[in-house]
Amino acid sequence: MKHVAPHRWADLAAGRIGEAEANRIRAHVAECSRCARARDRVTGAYTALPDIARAPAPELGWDHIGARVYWAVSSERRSIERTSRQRAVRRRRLWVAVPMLGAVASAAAIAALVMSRPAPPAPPVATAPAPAIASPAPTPVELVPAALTGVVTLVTGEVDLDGATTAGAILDHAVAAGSIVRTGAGRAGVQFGAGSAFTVGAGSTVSVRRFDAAAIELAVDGDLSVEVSARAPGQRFAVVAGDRTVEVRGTAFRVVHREGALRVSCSHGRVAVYDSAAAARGEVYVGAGHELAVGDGEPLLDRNVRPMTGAALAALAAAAAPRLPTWTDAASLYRTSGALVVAAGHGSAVRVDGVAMGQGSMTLRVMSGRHLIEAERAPGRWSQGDWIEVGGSGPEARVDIEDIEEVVVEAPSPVAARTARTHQLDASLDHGRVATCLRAVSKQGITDTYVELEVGVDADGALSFLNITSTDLPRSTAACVRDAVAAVKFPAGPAATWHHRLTF
Amino acid sequence: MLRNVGRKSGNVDAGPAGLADIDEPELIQRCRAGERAAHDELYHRFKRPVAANLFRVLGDRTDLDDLVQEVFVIAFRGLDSFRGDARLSTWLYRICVNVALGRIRSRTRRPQPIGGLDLDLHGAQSSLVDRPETPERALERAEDRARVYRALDRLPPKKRIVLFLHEIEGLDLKDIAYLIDSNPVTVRTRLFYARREFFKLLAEDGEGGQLLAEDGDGEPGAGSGGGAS
Repeated sequence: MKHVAPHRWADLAAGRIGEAEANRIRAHVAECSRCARARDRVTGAYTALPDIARAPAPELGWDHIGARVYWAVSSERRSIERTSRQRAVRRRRLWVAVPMLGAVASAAAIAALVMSRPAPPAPPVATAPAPAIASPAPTPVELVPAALTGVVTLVTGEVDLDGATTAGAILDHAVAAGSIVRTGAGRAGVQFGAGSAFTVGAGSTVSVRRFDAAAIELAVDGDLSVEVSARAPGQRFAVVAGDRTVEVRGTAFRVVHREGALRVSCSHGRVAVYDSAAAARGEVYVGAGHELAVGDGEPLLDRNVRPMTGAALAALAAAAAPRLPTWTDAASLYRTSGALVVAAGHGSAVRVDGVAMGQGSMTLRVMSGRHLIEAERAPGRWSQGDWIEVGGSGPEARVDIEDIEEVVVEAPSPVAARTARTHQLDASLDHGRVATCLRAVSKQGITDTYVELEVGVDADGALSFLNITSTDLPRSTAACVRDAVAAVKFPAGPAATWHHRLTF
Repeated sequence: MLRNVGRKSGNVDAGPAGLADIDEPELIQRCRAGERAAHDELYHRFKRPVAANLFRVLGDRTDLDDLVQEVFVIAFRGLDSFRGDARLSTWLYRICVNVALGRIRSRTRRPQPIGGLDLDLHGAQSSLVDRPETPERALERAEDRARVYRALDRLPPKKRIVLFLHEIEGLDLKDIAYLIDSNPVTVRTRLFYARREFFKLLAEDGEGGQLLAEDGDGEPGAGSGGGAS
């Protein structure tokens, strides 16, 4: 008898072979060691098949994947809608242009005919008015833009948000159109996107007039610092300060409007400041590192725009609201983040995970997990730090600065250190290499992407850590960008930790 | 058809509130209208079955998140053309199979590094629920599963997918034909040769590739491969 074909062992194990045939095979295998080995292997693997069929799904970053899917699908949908709108406009223009060309050509022909012949005596012709052609009225299509939700990330001192006055209640209260934030001796930070947040300074009132995908409009009386990432095409971001409007796209700036005077400072990008009233229509631009100071009623002139001092730039950077490292949607963020209450003496600066958060007691919204809290004992002298566990949707976590042990650590200003290291990274990054990483994505026509990294550099210039905190790129592409950042050589200097956002 | 294997209980994967109870046709309708909550609900309902199916077909979790994303992007793009002839789960399974097939093809062109098989699959100890087993037995089972995927990796992609769907997922020829957009006769022929090749590879695993002079059925249609339905 020939050897048994391997698939027959699977048939035998499944009971698909008749008894006579099975006996014949068994008789053969009793004498054939090679077939016995083959039988053991095949039947062993065959019995493993049900295990494979029952293998569960591995744990993946479900929220991240979901966000990427929605982003991809909605971007595509928007692009299709935009294209169809443009086509419709072109078609309308064609409908207007063709009859106009026809009319012009007819008029020219008639004129030529009239000029070439002597004019006959005009017969008495009764002229009737041309019947009016009723053009169909365009049906207005009202598109309701999606409403945005702001998540409060910082509360210090006296803050009132839509009547909520305790830190816990404010932190759980979402900011939407119609919300009003009032501060006494305190400030509040609100995040409304991956790279977008605003901070209401002390003694200020900010009214959220409009807050949706098409436009964001904030009215300020007092001090408002804004950091806003690149907006969707066509989306408007404006701050109304008295009779002036500050309009931006992708920048960080501060608007202070008090007692009839307006001061607009800009650290990144450029903002346009113009008179809200159509009759006045003065307009100036304030670029990065410049500020505008002008009184109400005074004309907006370019000469009022002046460069900022280093101290003013540092103050502007320090006024930025803390941001959560990931941004999906408000509901998910409320589930995956929690409140952290830091009790500190007045004027005592606080750092959370190496990032300066301001001075005095404060309540922050941070992602679930362990966080390092440090306090500044004296200028440049930071405490050793204390780790605290924050749970999502659970009770707030509390840390008392007085309990944190003091160590003597001489350190430069964290803001200055961060600024210096950020500039070094921007200057030394191999943009050609980054472009190579993004080639595949670019070929697909995908734009407005980003990678946000958490970067730590020690005093020797060595990278202490480099993590991708948020991105909308495929994992391999983001890792490629991270590797490009990892290749940057930092000189020795101040140690710094910061969130660095690269947009493409 | 898209089976929900090993889904955890609890509210970890709870979808958007308010849409958990709506039926499939309404969910599809609201997804087509571009409603974000419906989009999220559909994703939450099917994310684990989709990932589990891709994981089982491929045997490793390399780039699994990218593949899950690809399946859902294709699904949301094509939702307008979904006529409702099949269940939504079946339709999604079809997309899974095609995405996996594309992945297998690209992997065939660019072979995996040695040791690329995912160890997580070795830990799929479903048998522990049924009866406790010794560490030696667990190791044997893990090795058996690894041998199955080694043999699958050596099959041509079309044969591999047909064999996987029939022998492991237990689907009949008609269902397989729908999933791979073919006809049952082609599937039957392909399965016949795939079974012979697959079990031969399993038998030779560790033998240094020695061929056995066989005594078996010799044409498509005979034996279980051809006759299975």
